[in-house]
Amino acid sequence: MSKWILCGAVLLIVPTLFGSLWNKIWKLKITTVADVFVPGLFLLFCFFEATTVLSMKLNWKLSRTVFLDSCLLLVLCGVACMLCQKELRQIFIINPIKRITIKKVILAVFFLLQITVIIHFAPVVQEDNTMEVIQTNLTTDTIGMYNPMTGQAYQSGPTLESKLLITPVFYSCIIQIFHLNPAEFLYRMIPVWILFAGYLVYWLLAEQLFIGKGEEKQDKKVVFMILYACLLLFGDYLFTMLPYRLFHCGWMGETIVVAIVLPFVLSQCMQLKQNIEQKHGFEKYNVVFNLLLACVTVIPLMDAERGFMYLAITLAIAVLTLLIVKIGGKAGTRVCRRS
Amino acid sequence: MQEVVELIRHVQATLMVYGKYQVLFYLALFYLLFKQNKKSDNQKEQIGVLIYMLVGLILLWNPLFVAAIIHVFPQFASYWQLLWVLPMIGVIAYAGTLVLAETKEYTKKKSWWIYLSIICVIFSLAGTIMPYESETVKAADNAYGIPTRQMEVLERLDEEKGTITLLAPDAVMGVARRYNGATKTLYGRTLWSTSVPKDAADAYEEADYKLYALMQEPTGHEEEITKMAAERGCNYLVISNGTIEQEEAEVPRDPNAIVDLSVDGNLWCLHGFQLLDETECYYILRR
Repeated sequence: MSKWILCGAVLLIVPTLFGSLWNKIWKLKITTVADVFVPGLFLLFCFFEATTVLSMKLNWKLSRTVFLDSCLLLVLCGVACMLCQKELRQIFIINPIKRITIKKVILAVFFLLQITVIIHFAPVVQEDNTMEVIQTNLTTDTIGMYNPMTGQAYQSGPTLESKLLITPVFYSCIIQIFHLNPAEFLYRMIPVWILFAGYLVYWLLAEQLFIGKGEEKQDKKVVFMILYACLLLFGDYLFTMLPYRLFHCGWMGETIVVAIVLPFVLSQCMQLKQNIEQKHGFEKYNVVFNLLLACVTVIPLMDAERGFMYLAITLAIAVLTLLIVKIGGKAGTRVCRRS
Repeated sequence: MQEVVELIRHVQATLMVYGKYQVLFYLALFYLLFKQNKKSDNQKEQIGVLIYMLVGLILLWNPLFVAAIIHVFPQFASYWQLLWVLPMIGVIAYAGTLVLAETKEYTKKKSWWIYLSIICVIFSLAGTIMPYESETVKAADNAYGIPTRQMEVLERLDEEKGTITLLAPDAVMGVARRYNGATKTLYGRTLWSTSVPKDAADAYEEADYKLYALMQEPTGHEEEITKMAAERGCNYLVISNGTIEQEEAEVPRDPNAIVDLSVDGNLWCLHGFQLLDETECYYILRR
């Protein structure tokens, strides 16, 4: 039990620290945990991508990669703790959960019910081979040397696409570090982790959708999250729906892209628009780094072609929306002036 | 182009059959379009959300655009994947929040909770109380998501020492390496399923395809299967006793149709294979 709690704590703390460092470097706004956790999550995937590609190039064993990753993670987290004390204090001390309200309890109940769904139902694995890759990595202590479908050594080697997809290797490393049961970790813990990250991303969206200050805005955001949670809970009625992906395929890279990366890109586009209107100098455009990070994160998570297509469509719609709003705004101003 | 139009229509129809979130989504858009609160601080954001969704719908309903995407990216032949770009659930929640904010201005605090409850009930009626149960989504027998009948075989094999090279029916072959990475198989799911990602540039040999074809109808091919399995280095062979096939065929259970390997001279004990154990639906042979 203790190793599960420790693993859970690491999966929450490490992205938070990475995100704090990232936000500090690019002078990005930090008001809540969501502002640091989500970019930190992307950085974690990119970090594992970099170390995994290096390991595969050098033909390192999985255990050596795990050792390298653990050391680097410790160093980076230490650096983040030292450099981001002010930011972390702001998130956890100055802006904590100020008081527990009935609405927040309702939100928590919905979240727990969704966790129950994840645990009760079998994962959907017909089109997925993540567990086979993880089992192969753990059994052979190698990365990308054995065919996960048969257990035989590769003759021609893995495809380039599968070399770049690091989610199985990331999961393998965590399982090996904490000596966890692979099935419980992959099919239960990771979907809950991704579900939690999904909530944080929508909290970021809510931050952009409800302008204002104080209790009223906070209240609206909580209500928005309650309705979002309710829709998620009852929305698992077809395989095309987002709740289906989150509950039954939460560990897959495509789910992470669709449930976290795309909404994050939307929230950052809205933040960018606001910054351009209100901020000066570097702070006008620093959100672009978050957008770039989100784009790069697609590579380790899913087939790059499809991933970039999702991003391209999202950004295209966002840009068209911005243009229409601007043109509409200018036309409205001209009409006002004439009248 | 006709196919693309049909595809779009089919997906939209399917989305409406199983649940009504699409209806809630369109209601949310109508609300944002016609009921904007001009005094609200969030009017700009409401307009932004509305325009974003309308632009998205115009693009994703446009057969020309969809045809272009499918042509350039054949992986997107599943049109519904494109719809994930639109945060439908977020928009419904957003409109619901604005509705509740408006009611808060005109009602007492207790009434507001009633309105929230009504909205949650509407969402539950538009969706489903119980998650989507189908062939792919079932209650989990175990953390691996492996059905109990196949799990029994794998747990029995787990007790064996040494390397296991396995040949078994698809239901067992497809999950063996999910359970235990040390178990080798003569071929994998990628041989019979095109939807599993192909990790390897390695291609299967002709003998793999032949063996797979024989394993689909093993009765009468015992000699060939055991011979090929022994030649390929297989040391564990699993065969069905007919229970699952009878259930799938929905015929009354016929004891005579069940393979019984416990009798002497059974046809599978060839080329060194001997009966090791049996489970509810399978026999396990070892060489």
